[in-house]
Amino acid sequence: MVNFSLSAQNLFFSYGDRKVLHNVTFKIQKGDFVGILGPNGSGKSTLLHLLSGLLIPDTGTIFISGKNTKELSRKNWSQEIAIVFQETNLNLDLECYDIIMMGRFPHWRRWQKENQQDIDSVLNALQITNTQQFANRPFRELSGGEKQRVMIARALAQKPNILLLDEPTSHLDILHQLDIMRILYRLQKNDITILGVFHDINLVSQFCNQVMFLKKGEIVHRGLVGKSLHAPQVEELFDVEFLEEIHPYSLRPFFMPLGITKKMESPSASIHLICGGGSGSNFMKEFLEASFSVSVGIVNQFDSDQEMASKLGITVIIEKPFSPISDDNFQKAMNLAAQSDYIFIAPGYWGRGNLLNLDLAISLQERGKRIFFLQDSLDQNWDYTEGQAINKLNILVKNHAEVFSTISEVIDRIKKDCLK
Amino acid sequence: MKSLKGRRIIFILIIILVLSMVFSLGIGGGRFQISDLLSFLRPQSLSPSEKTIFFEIRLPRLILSVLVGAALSLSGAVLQGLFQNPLVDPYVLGISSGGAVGAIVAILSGISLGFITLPLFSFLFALATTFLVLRLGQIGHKMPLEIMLLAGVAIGFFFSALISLGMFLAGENLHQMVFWIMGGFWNSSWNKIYTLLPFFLIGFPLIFSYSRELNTFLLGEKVAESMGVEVEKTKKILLIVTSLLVAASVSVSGVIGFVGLVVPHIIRIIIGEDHRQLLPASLFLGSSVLLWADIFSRTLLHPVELPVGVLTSLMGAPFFIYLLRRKKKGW
Amino acid sequence: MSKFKIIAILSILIFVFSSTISYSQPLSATDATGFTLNLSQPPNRIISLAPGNTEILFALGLNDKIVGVTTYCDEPTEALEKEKIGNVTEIDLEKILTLQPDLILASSLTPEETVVRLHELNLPVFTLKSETIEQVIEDITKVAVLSGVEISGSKLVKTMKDQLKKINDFAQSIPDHQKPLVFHIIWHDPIWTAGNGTFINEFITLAGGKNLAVDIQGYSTIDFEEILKRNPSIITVIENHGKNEENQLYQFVTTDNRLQTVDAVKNDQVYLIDSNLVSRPGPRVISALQYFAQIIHPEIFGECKIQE
Repeated sequence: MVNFSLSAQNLFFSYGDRKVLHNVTFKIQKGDFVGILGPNGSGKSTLLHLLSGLLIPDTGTIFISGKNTKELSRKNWSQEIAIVFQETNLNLDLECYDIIMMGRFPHWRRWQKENQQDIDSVLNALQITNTQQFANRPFRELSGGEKQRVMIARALAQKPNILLLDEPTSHLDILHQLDIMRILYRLQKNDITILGVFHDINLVSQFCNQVMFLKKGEIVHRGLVGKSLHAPQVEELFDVEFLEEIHPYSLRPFFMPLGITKKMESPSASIHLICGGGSGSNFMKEFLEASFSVSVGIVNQFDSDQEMASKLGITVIIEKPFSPISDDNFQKAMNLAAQSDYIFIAPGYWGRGNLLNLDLAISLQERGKRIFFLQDSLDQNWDYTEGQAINKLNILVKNHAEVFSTISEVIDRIKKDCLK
Repeated sequence: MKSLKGRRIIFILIIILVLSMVFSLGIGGGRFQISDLLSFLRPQSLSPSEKTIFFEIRLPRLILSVLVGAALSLSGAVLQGLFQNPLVDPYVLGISSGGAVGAIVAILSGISLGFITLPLFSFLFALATTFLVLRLGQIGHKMPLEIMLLAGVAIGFFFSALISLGMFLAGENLHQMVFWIMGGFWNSSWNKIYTLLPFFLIGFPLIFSYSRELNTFLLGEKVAESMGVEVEKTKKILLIVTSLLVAASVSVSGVIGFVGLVVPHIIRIIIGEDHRQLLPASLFLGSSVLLWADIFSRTLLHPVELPVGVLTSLMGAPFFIYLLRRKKKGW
Repeated sequence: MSKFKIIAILSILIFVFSSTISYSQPLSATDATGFTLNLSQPPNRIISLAPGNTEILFALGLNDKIVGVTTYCDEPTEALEKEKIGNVTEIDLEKILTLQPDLILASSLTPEETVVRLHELNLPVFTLKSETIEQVIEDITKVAVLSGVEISGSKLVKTMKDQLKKINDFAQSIPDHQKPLVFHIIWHDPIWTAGNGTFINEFITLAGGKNLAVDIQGYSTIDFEEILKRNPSIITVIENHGKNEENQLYQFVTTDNRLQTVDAVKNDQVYLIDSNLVSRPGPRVISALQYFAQIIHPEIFGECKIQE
């Protein structure tokens, strides 16, 4: 029987009428470092308050080291769990040593004096948080990051089995954020269970070994960072598109928000993008942000446009690397593009390899598709096909292709058409 | 180490207090007379009236002013620590207004139970006011202190109006009311000391035992609670104990202002916020301050006696301003 | 014209003329604020704003002319039946106006704003503010002049002066060291006494005693120790009418353990003084003086009859 360090069963909590936590159940083992993530108002802070005993759940039970918290006194609870809050601007004159020593409170009886055990705990806490040099300095002279470390030291002086942290790094600069995460990471070695609410997905992915997602008061995901933390779960949690990479140094997942909100209204128009060599990446972004659905083709594999499209989850017709366009792919592109409302040609270099893309456009035009491209495309300097590309573009123009100055005009036109 | 400095200052304050007490025994006839002091040490040589002067007038007076000064400063320090608000003084829960109304009711009603009448009425009304404020300020099991402060202010206003009404109805008893409210030690007696003593003997050590809790309040109530402090229980106990101390003080010596507000701040500027030193230091400084204020009230316009409350404000304010300026220049 | 007719007309003229002369003599006096009041004829509707003034009016035989008094005016008892215009500090101006007074006697207790207001309303206000027996006598004279009763006035004044002189002469003949030290206590919490410049001080001094608080100005607190140090042989205690069943102040003086060593307490020389008697500037100041004289020098003035 595994001894769970901390577990919660069916926790419910409301502030008056407002439901904050709904049926929260989880188990955490000794030595776990769990990162709690979620959008604002998801109840993360409230959960920590319940676990530390600062709030009482409406229903549900919490077990700490196997003991039901309903049977724990305030002091005993504080001997098991310590909590660190977001750094506040406390301007205390007290020396840091005294502040950290306050953390020994749960171990004292009313008239008990400080003993060697207390001193050892404080010194230990100073060492772990690397705050020895602040011991005799007044708290208010420290910087934000240093204050937070002292607060962690204070929590550690409680000699808790479980450490809770409520957005401990939110107001800190990068240096101090990493400082603190490293301290927490090392604490795991001392068999301390850590549960932290963080605002930064990457701090969690880099340092925690487990992750818990909280959305609208419910746990929507729980698992190991390595195995179950991927872009889809993160996107689902935050309603934002993310790009997942492997951090080159830590080899842990690293998430980059794409700035496109996932919550798209159903696309108002569909555009097939003809591009290559990086010319299309910007347009893919612009069209997606304008709530159009996009398809791409034909591009070669390893072309940067191909990689972008794949990452963005856009349907793309891919040709073998460095190879001219095959008939097979040409047909596929025709079929794909036929489903689009518009065809857009991105301005870029034309060579023998991608000249067929223009033929694609001409064929599509004959099928009745509207062709858009920018004035820039008609620049001869980009034509490496001895004029063939320009010719094809002129044919397109003759057959009523529309030429614009900027991408915004294109988007505006499409949007206007949609309104009709 | 800061606590060493703190302990040294406390030691100095104790010495000052003891010396002041000895000195005050020699104050008579408007000035210090060493002969008075020496004859005090040989009680057999005193005439009956001289004996009365020393043992029934001077000694109880100095003890009472020391005790009240201690109670007010200690309560002020505790309340400032509880409310985490530097503007708080011992009368923040309306105790002084309640006590004054009690005294006024006693005067107007003409009820006479002997000399205990005024102090008893004052004490009961002061306590009633406190409990009224505590109940008003309570929400469920919690005592949110901002609400408590507001309740105290509101009740204070109400009682001030009653005081004005009482004064209006006073007629020829007006000056008695005014003097009671201004506060003074003219009628110090051993009886008054005996009535105060149990509150102080129990209250002082009890408050000191909560020094560490008060320190945790500096970090915020949430953090304090997470560290095992029973925040609501602590608030309740400290509020009740300080209220008893202050109500008792007000009932025997009227409303003496400023001491409870300023003395803890002076100590904070000198020693810091650690309540393990702040509380005892405030107590000893407060005793000396009130003792000296009483000495001046007896000597400045001898044989006329000034009300002590006036002197505490006159003495305290400029000194406090001086300390503030020193602190700003970074000492 | 015949001589008879001339004489008749002249006599009539002289008669008319002389009668008008005697009535056009102005009644005039200057009050404590420096204000000079001129009345063309003796007042018939007088309002008193202080009990002392009421007593003066009654003593001058002007009771019928009084149309308004304060709620505190209780001496003599007929005063209780007069119309009330408020107490000493809160005065009903409207009432005063409806009573149409032709003389209003204010006192030092009347609030300044009220006096100013009365002046503004062009009412004949005369303020009496006396701090010594001499001044009281002067005030009585002024009121007599204003009211056109100079004869009654001078009779009363003469009686008062005679009694004053009698007491004072006897008292001054006593050598200083035989003058008892008297402490007058008005309240105990704080100790409140009457120093130099008060009526009490005058009563004690003129009656052949020494005021313990003579080095203090006016009404004031006093250091408790001084009472013990100076050791008075007589203590006079103010008694408020009907306030307590037992006089709290008297109880304090006689039973407080700190005062046990004082001669006055040891020798049972603690006397009650009616506060009304000693706090109203009026004809009874002489009675007050007599009372003090009996307390301080019973061997000369006879035993004091009223004692608790």
